[in-house]
Amino acid sequence: MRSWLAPDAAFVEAVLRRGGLPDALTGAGLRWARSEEGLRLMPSRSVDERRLLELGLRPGPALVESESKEASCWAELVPCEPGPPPELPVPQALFRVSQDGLTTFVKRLLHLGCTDQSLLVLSDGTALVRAVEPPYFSLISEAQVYLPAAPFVWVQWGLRHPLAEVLRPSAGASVLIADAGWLHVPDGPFQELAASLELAPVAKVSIAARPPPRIEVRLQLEPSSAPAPDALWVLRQDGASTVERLAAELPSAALEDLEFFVAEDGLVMVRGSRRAPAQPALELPGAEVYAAHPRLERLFLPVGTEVAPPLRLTQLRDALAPDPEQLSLLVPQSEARPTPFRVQTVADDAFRPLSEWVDYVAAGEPEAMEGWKRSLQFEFQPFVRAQTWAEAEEAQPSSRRSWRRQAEARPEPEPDPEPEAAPARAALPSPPRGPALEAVLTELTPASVRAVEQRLLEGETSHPAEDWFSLVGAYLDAGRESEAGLALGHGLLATPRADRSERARAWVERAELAPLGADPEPVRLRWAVFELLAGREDDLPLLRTRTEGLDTRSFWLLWDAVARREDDALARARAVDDVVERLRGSLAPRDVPAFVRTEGGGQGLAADALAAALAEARETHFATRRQRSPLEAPEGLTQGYVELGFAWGFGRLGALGEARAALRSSEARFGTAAEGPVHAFARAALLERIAAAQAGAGAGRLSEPLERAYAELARMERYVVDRLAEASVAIGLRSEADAFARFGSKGLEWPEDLRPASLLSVLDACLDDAFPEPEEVLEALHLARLLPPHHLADRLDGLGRACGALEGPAKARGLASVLRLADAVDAPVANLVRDLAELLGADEPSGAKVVFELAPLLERRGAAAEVRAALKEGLHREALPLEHRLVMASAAGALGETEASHRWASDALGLAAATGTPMATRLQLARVLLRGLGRSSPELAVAAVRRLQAELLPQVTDSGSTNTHFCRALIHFAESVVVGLATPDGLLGPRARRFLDAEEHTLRQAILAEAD
Amino acid sequence: MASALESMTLPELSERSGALRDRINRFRLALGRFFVGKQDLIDLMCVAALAREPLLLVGPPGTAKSDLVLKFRDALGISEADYFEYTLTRFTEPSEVMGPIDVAELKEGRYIRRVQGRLPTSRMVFLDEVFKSNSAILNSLLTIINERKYYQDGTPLPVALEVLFAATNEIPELSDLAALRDRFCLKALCESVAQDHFLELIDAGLAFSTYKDLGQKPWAEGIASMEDFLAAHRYLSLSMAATRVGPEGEVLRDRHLFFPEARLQEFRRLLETLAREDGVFVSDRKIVKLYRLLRTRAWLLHGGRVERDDFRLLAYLGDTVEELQLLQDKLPRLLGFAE
Repeated sequence: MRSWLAPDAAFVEAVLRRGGLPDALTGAGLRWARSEEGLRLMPSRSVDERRLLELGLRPGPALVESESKEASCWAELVPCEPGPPPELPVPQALFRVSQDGLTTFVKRLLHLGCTDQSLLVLSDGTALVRAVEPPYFSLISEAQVYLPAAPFVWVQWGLRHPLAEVLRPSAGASVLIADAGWLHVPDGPFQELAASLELAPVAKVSIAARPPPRIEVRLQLEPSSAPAPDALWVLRQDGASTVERLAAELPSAALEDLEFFVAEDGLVMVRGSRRAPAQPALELPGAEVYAAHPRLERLFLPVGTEVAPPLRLTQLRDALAPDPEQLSLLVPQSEARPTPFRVQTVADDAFRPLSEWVDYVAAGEPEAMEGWKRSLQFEFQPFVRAQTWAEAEEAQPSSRRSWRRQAEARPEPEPDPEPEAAPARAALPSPPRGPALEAVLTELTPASVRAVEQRLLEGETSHPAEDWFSLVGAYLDAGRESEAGLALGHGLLATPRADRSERARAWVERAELAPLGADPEPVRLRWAVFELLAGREDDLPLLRTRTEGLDTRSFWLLWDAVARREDDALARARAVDDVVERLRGSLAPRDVPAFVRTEGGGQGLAADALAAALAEARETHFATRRQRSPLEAPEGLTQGYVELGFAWGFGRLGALGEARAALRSSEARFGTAAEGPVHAFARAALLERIAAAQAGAGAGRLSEPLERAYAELARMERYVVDRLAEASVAIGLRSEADAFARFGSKGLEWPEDLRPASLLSVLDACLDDAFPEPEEVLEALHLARLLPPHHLADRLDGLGRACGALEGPAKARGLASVLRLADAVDAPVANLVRDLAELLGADEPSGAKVVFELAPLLERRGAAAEVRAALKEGLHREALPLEHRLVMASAAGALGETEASHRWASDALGLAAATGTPMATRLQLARVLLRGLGRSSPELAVAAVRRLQAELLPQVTDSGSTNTHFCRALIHFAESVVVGLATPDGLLGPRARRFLDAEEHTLRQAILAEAD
Repeated sequence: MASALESMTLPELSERSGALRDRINRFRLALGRFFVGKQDLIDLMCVAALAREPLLLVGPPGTAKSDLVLKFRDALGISEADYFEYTLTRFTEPSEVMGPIDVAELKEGRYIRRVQGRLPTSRMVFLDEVFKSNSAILNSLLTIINERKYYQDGTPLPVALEVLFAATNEIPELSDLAALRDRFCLKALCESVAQDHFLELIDAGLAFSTYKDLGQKPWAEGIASMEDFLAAHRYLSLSMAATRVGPEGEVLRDRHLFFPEARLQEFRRLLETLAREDGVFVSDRKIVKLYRLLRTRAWLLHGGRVERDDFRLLAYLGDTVEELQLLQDKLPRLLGFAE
């Protein structure tokens, strides 16, 4: 047998990479020695000498055993190289320790917070410890530490082996590569540490158990922080006569929306009909007023109260309203606070339409027939206006609602003995202002309202402003002031600016508003904006401070009016900035009219289902026992944050009762332990987010005091808060949606001169640079945003090209910004889409994230096919990390590729639930997975949440470094659940989504055009 | 005395080092008896004084920060003339700390301060609320801590300062205070002990009130003096700078004799872990200072080579209260003391 000479190790590496020799030869052992000429190799197997010669190896004499070394395979001759420092936390590491030192070593890892260990004892007196996310100190302290380089290939810490990725160890074996030599070890079975631990015996004292006594908790009523609207009126005295008066006063249309019940003892109940579009607002003297429980509609509580202590929905139902056929009323028993109550029930089907009232009372009573006739006379009331607007101004305000003067203020027309002979239309005097009002007042019936709504929903209207105005009148008549305000905002924005003031004035007068008050509700605030447009400026100071609760249209109308009034270009630019921020990405329910929300199955049902799923997930969360790391922060604080996350989710879904319960629970869990600036800031920020979610607002910037508080945090405190923000979607501390927010965070100032010409000169200077620096590009994008869009039409190509100077996430966000601008001015987007599609082939997923966000825009601009193709190609790339693949699949799902999306979602779910996957990866997968499913398929999101809570949650804990404030991993997981279930997008049908997308586009264009 | 000390050689000091160490150890243990739960801080004050490193005590009011310094001073028998103490505020003027301008000299056109009894002439200084001072004082302090000198009419003169203690309720994040913050390599949390030592605290407090009423200072026992600390400092400085020749003719530096290779490696690993996992970075300058401090602690507490226990000193490296709390919690785990 002879040896073969290779010039050096690099030559051997090249031979192996080329694959010119059979694996049976290169994978077998050999002897080797280093000589002046190079490396001498003596394979242990017979070789094809001709092949070796062809490859450039030269034959030589056989090697003597004493002067040569043994190697397990040819690749072992290729030395290791210094490797880059790995990212922390390291997902897995393998420690080789002596069996004598095994116990000490394992104990040490446990004390450093690493609980996920498994052991394999080897026959050579050593043992392998496989640790998940091992502490850094152990990695750099131990002599034999290996990190995974490829399946079954581990390379010593601090080194890399050039051939590690192409090595294929024999079946059932792993190879540990180190400078000192290679070690082939069995690849298992590793035994979990828990199974290997032998705990020292502890003296046991048995305590006999006995059944605990039942604990009786007396339920009481307490004032509610968010009162529900009036829904049921109980008249215990003179009920019949009160209702008779009511019937005589109300228009017949309103009468049809009421139902009543009369008990044998004379007690009378009145409630709104289930078919009524909204709850009636009644003022019945002497009536007890009840509100329906927000989550259990057959349970009625005295208005402004709630049951204490808070109960889960199922408990509440079992205790107070178990029978689905019966309504339950909680009748107060005293004036004390909290108030004891008793439960009175009444059959649901005992209520009859109030229009039958006359028949009921009139049996055998000729006088009562008069009442019936009188009520008939009022049937035309909604169509009759027998007074001038000036007279209406002078009419007495009613106390029917807190902020709106009511119909009684308008003197009703005298009963017409022959109504059929006097058509209402003929008697209608023209109002002095608002010519369209007349038509609106005369023609709306429920059917025609529905027709107008459908027309708007389908985008088939040729006079959108008039259609919206027609809805305003109908909604006001039905007592739906909130919807009326939304519709008026739509109508006014679709009206030329010059006519807005007049139209607003007409509707404000029509709505007959009471004074604003010191702490108005959002619905009233919206009308205050219209009052401002109508020329009433008294409330402007208050309005300036309360813009958060306004819908986007009212918000814009307000600031546009302010900017014009004060000639303040900066105010308008900021308003544009804020509106664009509001419109970006997330859907704000406060902007969505009810007829859109209820399109396609009914928002109420879907929201209920998701809220119930979220309530179930919350219950499961707190009932699940976890294996806690010894390093984890006190659980009470963490669970306090988790409760805030759930409260935010409930708020987004409109489940206000559940949100309040979660908030109260969070307070109890925090107790007095949550002290210090970190907790103070984090809790305040979350509470602000929850309030915004409840009001239907999206996640914009934090309020100014909180932004300031954040800036004033010490470095370490800010670090802790930032870590929380990484885990918490709810806190929404850092907006990463586009380059502007990042740029803003770097301290970019508003330019002093906001005139377009000045801005353009600076922008052009930025764009003139053939090779701009990234900072210049970011500044150019920022300036572009401040400019009226038509100035940008010629510069969008330049902006798109300039984005080429950016890299990775910055480039993706830059392109997204320019795409939005191009969309706003209907400029071509082909080049931008091509650049975005190219980004989908990058090694990081920011391009796919942008596609996920901009999917509606891409669909609308006909660019979806190109991006879909790029995504599908990207999904087939090999060696793509699953998390990256999942983001791409989510983007594909958003563009309609649901099959690919669900296939990868299924894989990701399996991996996130699997115990072998490192915890950090599992958490991240869960987040991406649930976020994607929440938007594309709420049913799948519910199923995924259940599985992850069963299989992943019990192991979620912090095991990295010490964190004294909270368990970040647990908050991360819990909020992933919330994100998956509490996505308002999930509530909408496809037609509604199309409508909203078109609406957003229209609104953006209108506002940008007006900002010019 | 100082000049006599300056002329002493390493062999002479080596002969005295055992006795010096013994006195300083008795001093720190004796002083510890007059406090509750503060022995670690007193040890640290001794190490800082021996190494001539400034020490910052951080804690809320009423946690004995000032009391520690005052009793330390009494116990060392430092005279009024050699001690300067001042509580700084935003309105404190440089003349209050550095001495007023000599008007007679000013008339002659010279900008001379009358420094007697002020910071420049004091051997031990205690500055309370040190971060509340204004920029004029901050600049003077930085020069004094860094270079041990001050200026009289543009001429640099050495200060007498040997031991500097400072106290603060909080460590501000403001960038213009970063330089001063960085000068305090050692920062120690001074926390309430009422929760763990409630009864002892009451007993000690009553005893102290009695001493105060009677005008007694039993902690001023004269076990060790400032001169002992200075001599020990000189001994350690000379020792750390000295090189020896090994049995095979190789040059042996201080670390070869007093800082075993395994400990040095552990030292490096600890610093690397704190930087990578928790963002606690230690500058090059601080690493050298740390070496000296670890050596000093090892000499004082066990008389020889640096041991793992000495790494407890790293818990005082933090720059913020949160970092200090984190290090207090984490270091024992890393060192295996929590097992």
